[in-house]
Amino acid sequence: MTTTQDDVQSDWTPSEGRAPASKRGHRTRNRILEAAVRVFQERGLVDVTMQEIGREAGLSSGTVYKYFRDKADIFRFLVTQLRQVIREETTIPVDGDGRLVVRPAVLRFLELYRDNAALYRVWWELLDPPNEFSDLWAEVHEGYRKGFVAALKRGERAGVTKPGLDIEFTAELAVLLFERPTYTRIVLGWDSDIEDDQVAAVTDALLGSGLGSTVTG
Amino acid sequence: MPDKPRSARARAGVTDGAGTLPTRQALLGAGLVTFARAGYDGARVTDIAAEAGMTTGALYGHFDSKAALFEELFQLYGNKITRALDAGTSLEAQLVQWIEVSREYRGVLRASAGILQRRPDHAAARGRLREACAGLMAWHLRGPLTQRDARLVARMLIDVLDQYTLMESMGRTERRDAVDVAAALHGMVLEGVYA
Repeated sequence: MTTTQDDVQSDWTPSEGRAPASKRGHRTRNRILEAAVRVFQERGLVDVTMQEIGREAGLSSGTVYKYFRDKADIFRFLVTQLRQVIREETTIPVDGDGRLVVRPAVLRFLELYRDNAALYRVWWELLDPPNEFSDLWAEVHEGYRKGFVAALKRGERAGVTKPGLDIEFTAELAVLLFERPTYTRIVLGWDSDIEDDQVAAVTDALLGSGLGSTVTG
Repeated sequence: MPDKPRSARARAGVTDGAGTLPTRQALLGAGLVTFARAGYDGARVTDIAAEAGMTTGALYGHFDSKAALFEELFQLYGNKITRALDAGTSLEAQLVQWIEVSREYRGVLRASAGILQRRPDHAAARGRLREACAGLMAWHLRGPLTQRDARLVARMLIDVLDQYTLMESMGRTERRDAVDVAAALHGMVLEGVYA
């Protein structure tokens, strides 16, 4: 689980401007974070209270408030860590011919979602109305889109991208093809009759050479 | 249909002697507009009633709650989209229909997105509608695909369009002609992105 790593927390300012300098403070803060993840996993963020998070952690609300201003503050802390993980782990490689290597990227994206299902659940919950978290979400989305644009342009230079392809919009659709089926699968729990490999195979086809013109559609 | 313009009578809260259907439709139309503007949580019953030019009391005469009004709108959306997909003669035509009906009912989709995770009953209904739509689309995806794969592809296309419509309604992506969106997606299904 990525939520209790200490090494990416350096830029964080706790609610009372007091970083948990002691080992004990660290432990307490991690206890709160772990409890919050469990609560978010079950019920999202909107309907839960700091008291419930405190109860889950076995701590008084007073202690919880010593570390975090409110539940959004807790989520902000966690999603900042997740943002870092996303930055490091969700690049989609391009092969020697200049084509995207889709299959392993889909499987890794599913894994990332599974490991952070509670946070993704809350993140989707907070998309609307617009706020700092939906802005961050849009920023991540745009980052993915630009990555696909770059890859498709590279393919264009290598002569493998379909001539006349609307690269900008195709890149947008590519991001949606990663994001939404992963969300419905991991967060909503749909499609349990389907294996990850099948999802990866379909995504690979749509971002590869298609399903073939013999499809009647 | 809920998107019909409201009559002055409905606006004034006047009910027909012959029945109250126009009032009910005006309320549904007002619900659609209000959900599109404010989302599920942001749309208060008083806002919906005001949008229809009625009192809250008049609204409660027709619907037990905001949830009940929303459920009826969701039903209308589901009926309309499945009818449209059923009538579609190709996958591409179905994709165009899907986008156009969903744009018309963007209030339903915005509200739905807001409650999808905390209302298991609604998530289940949304999942059933997705399955019904996927079944209708999979029919046009035969060819080399097994039935199971065709259904999976259809589900994924619906997911893509769901998020596309949602982002569009949030102003997170530019609005494009439904025909162009469908053509781009259809092109990916048939030919992918590489020659």
